[in-house]
Parts: sequence; structure tokens; C-alpha cells
Amino acid sequence: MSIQNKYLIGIFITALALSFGFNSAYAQKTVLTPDQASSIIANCTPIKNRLDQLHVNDALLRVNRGQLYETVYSKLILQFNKRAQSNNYDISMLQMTTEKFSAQLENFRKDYRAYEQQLDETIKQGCSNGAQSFVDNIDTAREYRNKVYEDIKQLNSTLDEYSTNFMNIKSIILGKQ
Amino acid sequence: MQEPFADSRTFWGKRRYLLLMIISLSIAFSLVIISMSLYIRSGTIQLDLSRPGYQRVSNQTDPDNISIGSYSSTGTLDEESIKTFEEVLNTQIKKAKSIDAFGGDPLDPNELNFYQ
Repeated sequence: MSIQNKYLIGIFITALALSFGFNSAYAQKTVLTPDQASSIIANCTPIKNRLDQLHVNDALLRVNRGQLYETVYSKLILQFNKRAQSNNYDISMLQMTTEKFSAQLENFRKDYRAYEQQLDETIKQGCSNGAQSFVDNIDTAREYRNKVYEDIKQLNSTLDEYSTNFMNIKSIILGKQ
Repeated sequence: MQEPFADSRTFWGKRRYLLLMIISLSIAFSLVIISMSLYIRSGTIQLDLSRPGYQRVSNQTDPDNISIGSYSSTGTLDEESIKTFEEVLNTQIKKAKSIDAFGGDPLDPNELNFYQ
């Protein structure tokens, strides 16, 4: 085997080892001791009941938050932009913030869907596949729920940004009059 | 020689009502499958609080979220119309931030009392 081939094989093995290393670091989950596993199996029903309760409360939260953001977007923001544009004001900043808000709203819908499906699956499976699988499912649902929380924070921040841009255009409009 | 009153209709010709029922039921069944898959895949199911298990919270939706009037997209922009928009926008922003939606960490093992 030539030196060049050995060199290539070396690079390949290193890359493979690194990729396994990264994968295991990202896929790090709660690893249960036998005592913890048996405790979870014993508490499976109350844990499932709490998850059920969370599932219902989060569905209500999703409906209320979703309606609020959709309404602000379609009944206020889009309408104001159209009106300002038809009055020949430069709304490029408002437009940019509006597009950002629209994309974030879509992320919120998508991320909530993924979270809800994961939580639903977790509740349905319960401890039937063992405590470790149950905990892994909950860990994934937790990760997805955090994403939804991040989406909400981004939406609120973009609303603030829109409000700031609105104040700028307001001073221009009122300054002209 | 063919009998004068012999029924010359085909197999399905003799069973037209049965055929009609089969076709109608097949169409209805297909439409139900299509609409159910759209209902599930679009995520509408997740917003449907009339599902079993969700009815107890269905009366807790906030009607104010959808009852705010739409801001008119036409007309001039004067001080009055700007003020109206600003008030409604600020109210909605305040409302959006009034609760820490999806905050906290209810799926934390300690919150779920995993190891009691």
C-alpha cells in the first residue's frame, strides 16, 4: 500500500471517529440507573397523567397565542403596511419586519406541530418500551418545547421591532402634516 | 331463437341500484379519508379543542383575540388614524407579553417527579 493510500485511509478513519464523537455528544440523553428506571416504572401512571394535563394546557395556549399573533399580523400589520404604501410612504423597514414576523409565525406553527406530535407519541407509548425509552421521548419533547418557547420570544421581539419602525414612520408622517 | 321477453341487460345493468350505492359509498368514503388526512396533516387537529379530552378547556379560549376589528387598509394617514393604530398595536403587544407562554420547564425530570 502506497504512502498516499495510507494517508487517505488515516484521514477517513479520523473523520469517522470525529463524526461518531460529535453524534454521541449531540445525542446525549438522560441515562438511567436501575433504581431510577424502576422508580419511573412504578410512577408511570402519575407521570403520564401530568403529561396529559400539560398536553391539554399547551393546546389551549397554542390556540390563544396563535390567534393573537395571527390577528396582529393579518388585521393590523398587513393592513397598516398597505395603507402606508398607498399613501406613498417608504415602508421598506416595516416590510422587512413584517416578512420576518411571517417567517417566525410559520416556524412557531411548525415547531408546535412537532412538539405536539412528540408529546402525543410519548403519552401513547408510556412505559411500554421501558423506562429509558420513555425518558428519551420526554427529553425529545422537552427539546421541542424549548424551540416553541424560543419562537414565542422571537415573535415578541419582532413585534417590538415593528413598533419601533412604526414610531419612526409615525414621526415622518406627522412631521409632514 | 331468443325468447321475446328475455332480459338482455348485462350483469351490472340488472343491478344498477346496487352499483349506484357502491359508487356513492366509495366516493363518500374517499372524501372522508382525504378530509381526515388534511385535517391531521395540516395541523388543524391540534387547534381543535372540541376533541375528546380537550372540551374542559375549550371555553377558556380568548374571544378578544379574534374580535378586534381589522384596521382599514385604505384612506389617508392622519394623526387620528395613526393614534388608533398605535393604541390597538400597543394593546396587542402588551397582551402578547403578558404571559410567559411555553416558558418554564414542565418536562424537567424534577418537575415530573420522576424519582419519588
